[in-house]
Amino acid sequence: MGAYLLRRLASTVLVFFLITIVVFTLIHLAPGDPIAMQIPPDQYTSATQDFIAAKRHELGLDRALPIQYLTWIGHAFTGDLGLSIVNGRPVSEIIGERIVPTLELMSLGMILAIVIALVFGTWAAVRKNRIVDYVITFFSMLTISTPGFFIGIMAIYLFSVKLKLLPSAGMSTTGVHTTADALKHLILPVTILGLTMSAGLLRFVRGAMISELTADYQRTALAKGLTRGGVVVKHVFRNALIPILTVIAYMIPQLLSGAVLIESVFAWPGMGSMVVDEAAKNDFPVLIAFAMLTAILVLLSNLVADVLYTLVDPRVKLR
Amino acid sequence: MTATFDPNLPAAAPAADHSHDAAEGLAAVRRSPSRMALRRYMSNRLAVAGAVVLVVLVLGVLLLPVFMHLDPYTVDPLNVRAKPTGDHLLGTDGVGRDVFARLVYGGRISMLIGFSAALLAVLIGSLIGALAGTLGGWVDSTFMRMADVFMSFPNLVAIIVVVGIFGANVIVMVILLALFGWTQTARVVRGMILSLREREYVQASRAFGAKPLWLISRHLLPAALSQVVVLMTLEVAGFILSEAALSFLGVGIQPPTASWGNMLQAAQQYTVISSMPWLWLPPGLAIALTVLAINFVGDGLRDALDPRQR
Amino acid sequence: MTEQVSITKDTAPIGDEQPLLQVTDLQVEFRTDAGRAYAVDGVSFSIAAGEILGVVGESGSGKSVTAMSILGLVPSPPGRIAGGSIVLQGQELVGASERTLRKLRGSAVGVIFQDPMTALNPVQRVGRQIAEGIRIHRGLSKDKALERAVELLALVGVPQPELRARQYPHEFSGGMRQRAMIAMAIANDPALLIADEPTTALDVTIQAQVLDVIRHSQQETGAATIFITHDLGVVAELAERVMVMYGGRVMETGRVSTIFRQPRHPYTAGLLASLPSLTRDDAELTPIPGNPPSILAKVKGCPFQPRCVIGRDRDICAAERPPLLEVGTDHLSACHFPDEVGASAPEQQVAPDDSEVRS
Repeated sequence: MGAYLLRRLASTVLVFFLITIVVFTLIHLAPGDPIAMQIPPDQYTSATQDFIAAKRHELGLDRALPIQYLTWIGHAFTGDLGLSIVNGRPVSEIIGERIVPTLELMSLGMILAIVIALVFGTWAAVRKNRIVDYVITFFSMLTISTPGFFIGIMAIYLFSVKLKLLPSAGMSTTGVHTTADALKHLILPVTILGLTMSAGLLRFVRGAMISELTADYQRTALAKGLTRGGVVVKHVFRNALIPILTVIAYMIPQLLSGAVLIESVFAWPGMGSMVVDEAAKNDFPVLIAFAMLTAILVLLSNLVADVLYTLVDPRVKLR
Repeated sequence: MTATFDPNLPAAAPAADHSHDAAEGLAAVRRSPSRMALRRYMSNRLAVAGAVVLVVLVLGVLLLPVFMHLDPYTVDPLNVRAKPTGDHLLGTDGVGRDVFARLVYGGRISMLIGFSAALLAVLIGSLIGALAGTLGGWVDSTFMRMADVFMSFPNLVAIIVVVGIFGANVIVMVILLALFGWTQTARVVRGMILSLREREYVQASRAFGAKPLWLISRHLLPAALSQVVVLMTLEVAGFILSEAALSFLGVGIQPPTASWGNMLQAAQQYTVISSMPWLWLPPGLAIALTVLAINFVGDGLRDALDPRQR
Repeated sequence: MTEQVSITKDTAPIGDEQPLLQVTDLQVEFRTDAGRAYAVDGVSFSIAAGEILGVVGESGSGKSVTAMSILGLVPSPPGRIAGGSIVLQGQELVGASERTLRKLRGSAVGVIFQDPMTALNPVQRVGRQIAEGIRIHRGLSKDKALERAVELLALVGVPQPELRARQYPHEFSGGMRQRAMIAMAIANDPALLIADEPTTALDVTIQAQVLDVIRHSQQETGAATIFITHDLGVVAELAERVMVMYGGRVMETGRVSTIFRQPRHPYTAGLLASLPSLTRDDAELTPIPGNPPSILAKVKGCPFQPRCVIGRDRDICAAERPPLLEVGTDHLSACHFPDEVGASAPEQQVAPDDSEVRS
């Protein structure tokens, strides 16, 4: 186990550095000078030319790319992610205040998605080819086919505009600091994110459960005198859970895509709405940092998926 | 006590009866699976409905501008965010352009991006999958590790970052979507190749000195084709959704070019959501309907082409 | 022999005592894409306490479905018991509640399935899987049930049973898994043991060992055993009585010694002819030509008729269903012309391939 983990970890670190190099290079190859962009064209004089050069020097943008990369990665390890080109604030500070709302949204959305997928996926599988199955399958297909942000817009129209039940934006009402208010603001974003993320997983759960429900061992369990429900809970579910857990771990990064959209719809002050803003402003220190964080999230969840798989399935021997 | 009668043995007998008219028999064999698949497809009501809806939508966005006057670009500052009327079936947008015309022309862009990105993704995926499966070794493991990372990387996030820097037009969008969408095809094609290369007829070809490329084009890709078609269909749906998401965020197709996604951008404002549903409801429903239809077609194709998976 | 008695519901079974299991006119249907399939079509048989009954037939002859019907284990849908009666220890099981059946499963009736590779739960320790049935029916504590599981593993000849009980199925060889399966089936001293082709999936060398274990377990528990197989050799070795099935029907049934010496149904004769024997050269081995019948339509006459030397040209065999009639002491055959069987050499009992006649 230890040796396997170590090897897996080493390859993860290697891939991480490869990704950082690709992202870094890509972003620096981009057309458009981020500093020149900050200056309105009508104020563009020969003096600004010098100003830009000085600014570039100050930010280290005039040095060779590999040097810039090494400097950046060296600083990154000490928690210094550079300064925003747009407003000069430390990137770590900007990300620091944005990351918590995003993690909150993602983790709650994830839990909801898993619960929905497991409950309804299993239900549909057990009732395969009956009305319940058709209804669940159709709704999951509808959810997969409808953009999550559009569902969000419709939810705002219904619950905020028409019914006036729930707030449509932000994490709290300005000036109000109650738990109830915060919870109210959570309901729509978390529900929509959970719902959109559940659909694909639900279909996977249904498939996995159906293939396990026809497995020979469930007939053996029935022949021992278990109830049909007992067979599903004690035998089928445990077997189906192995592939499902792996898929869930792989799903975490996709959750970030969903969160970006949901944050935009509900003006949620997280990293998603931040990255959309910064992308428009060409603020690459922030963009790079965000891409690196994403890469870490991706690689970690892949690692978790692999390790989880070897832990839950006794048949998998660690090489 | 080991003597058992093998029930499978006599079953092979009737095939021999037809061997004298081999050509005819072969033609029948070749025709019947596709005919069976078609019959299975036609018996799937949702799949048929999906195909009908899809055809209507595609013909609609292609032909409507031919039969009626649609102008998606003319700005009318005096008639901004007008409610639907006889002149403007779905009203006008924030700068006075006709929403219905933009819906039709936007549909062209959204579908174009969906279909061409899927085609490109499948081409890239087939190529990489075929190379990985045929060559094996380090090529295989490198490609598959790459596929792992690409597959789990949140493509929306990656594309936002890249597009935010390079700017976006239709071609950049297509390339980026395909770049993050080839992995499944590569996996499927690679898997097919790994299982097929062990089959007798492929091994026989190898023994006769067939070159890998010839093997791929002659034996392996045809066998993988049905699965790839299914994947491509489902990818069209996924890419239409991605385009919508990116354009909604403002990092996709830029106005004045209309796409279903950037029409929805108007709904970033609360007042538009609350009092101008004609601006966001039509493009949203159009996306949902199109993607739903394509998904039903894809699912129907999968069930029809490979009934075992059902 | 001239007096022919047909077995019907009101006829008393052979012997004065009530048999352990009495199956009468069982009908099982499956709904398929191609229409309704009549997997079991009017099967009747009985088994006495402690007796071993061999059930022989090709794949699709309905032998497994018949056995699974007893416990209501036919997957439904698409399967369904369409008629008949199954009486176990005086209790009617057709139409019985799921609760009633559940109480019998694993206690009064134990089942050994065909493929030990897939019949065990891959992610649960073997000991726990055996203990599960014990706990359900005896309400023992976890530890007590596990102790009993270890004893059972020892009984079926699994070495180091304490260690083995803590292992997962994939750590067992095929033969060892089937032993574990047997331990599971006999865990609650069943009155009836159903062995559904228990050696088919195993290596030839392992088959004999597993048969020994089943025989041993059967003696140990005194359970009546329904032994399903397509291997006549196994039947000869193990069973006292044999039932030959074809196309969802019983063709012939009787004592093994009688039937092997003098079959009274052309299908049985054909099966016997396809067995290698010490007195004959293997070159003379005669396979049964033709295909197993389709069960998608109810056959009006005898299902074996298209492949049968005796019946293929006779109208009565195609048109009229031969009843299962007594042809000797404890010997029944469903053939219109039982006396013609064995008149010629067994190799000639069977017509050449003519499967197209039935189309």
